Amino acid sequence: MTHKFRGIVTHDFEDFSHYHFSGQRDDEKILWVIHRHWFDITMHYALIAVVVILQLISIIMAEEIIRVFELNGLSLWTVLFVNSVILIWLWFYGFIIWIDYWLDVWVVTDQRVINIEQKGLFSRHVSELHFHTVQDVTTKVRGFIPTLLNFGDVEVQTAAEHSRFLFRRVPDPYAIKAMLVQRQREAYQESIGKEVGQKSDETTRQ
Amino acid sequence: MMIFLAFPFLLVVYGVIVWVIIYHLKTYTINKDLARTAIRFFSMITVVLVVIQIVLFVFAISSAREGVQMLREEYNRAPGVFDTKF
Repeated sequence: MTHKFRGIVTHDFEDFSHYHFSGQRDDEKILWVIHRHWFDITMHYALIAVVVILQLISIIMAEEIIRVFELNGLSLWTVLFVNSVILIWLWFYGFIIWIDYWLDVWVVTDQRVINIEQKGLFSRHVSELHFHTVQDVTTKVRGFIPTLLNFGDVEVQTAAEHSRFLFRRVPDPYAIKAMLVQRQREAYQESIGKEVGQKSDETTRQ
Repeated sequence: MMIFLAFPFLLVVYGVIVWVIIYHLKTYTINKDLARTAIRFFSMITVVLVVIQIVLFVFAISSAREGVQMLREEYNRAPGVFDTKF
């Protein structure tokens, strides 16, 4: 069964059975997998599209360009070859952007949240947040396009030394905030239940 | 013309980039199925682009040779017109 909030697709546990992250515990189940909003990478792809359009124009007008700039040594094949070199670099660039987007992920499990932050190809930062350490959750949606497309930041204040945990440019930040608050409440109730259980054990022993 | 000389090195660079990308997808993904599909798609398109580029390189080199030959004949017909000696 699939639940759908705006922008975030969440599934029941079974759907994430083929998902696995490094450091996942045996009894840990993935509940949500959140990526950045698609608009975040659209800007990069728009830039690539502009360069590809310029390339097409340069191919169509190749003979004109050779004549106007007096590039007599150049043939049409050379122009096409140079364009193909640019095209392959754009292809690599586009794919690296997608990798950066795809590997930059927040994994919500029934025990914690893992933030895997990928910066380019050679920089990775992995941090985790336990629900019982959550003190405050703030949602920030700034600007016209984020408001329209419903994406923004979710900032989590924790009791830990590094007190800030950030979901950056994620879709439907309000749903994520609601989920975090709910999980925090459940974790709190669980810890109270454990404390009550421990106290009752102690009193029975006495 | 430097790009023609650099082409073999470019091919090596492409190989390294492809290896790095596939390594990342294989190692760091949280969804192996999607990574496998992405690797297949990426490899296929890259191979097509590289083959096209090699074909264009061959045509570009042969047309450049023809161009040089033409210039050489022009020079032989009217020596001193060009600065370059063939």
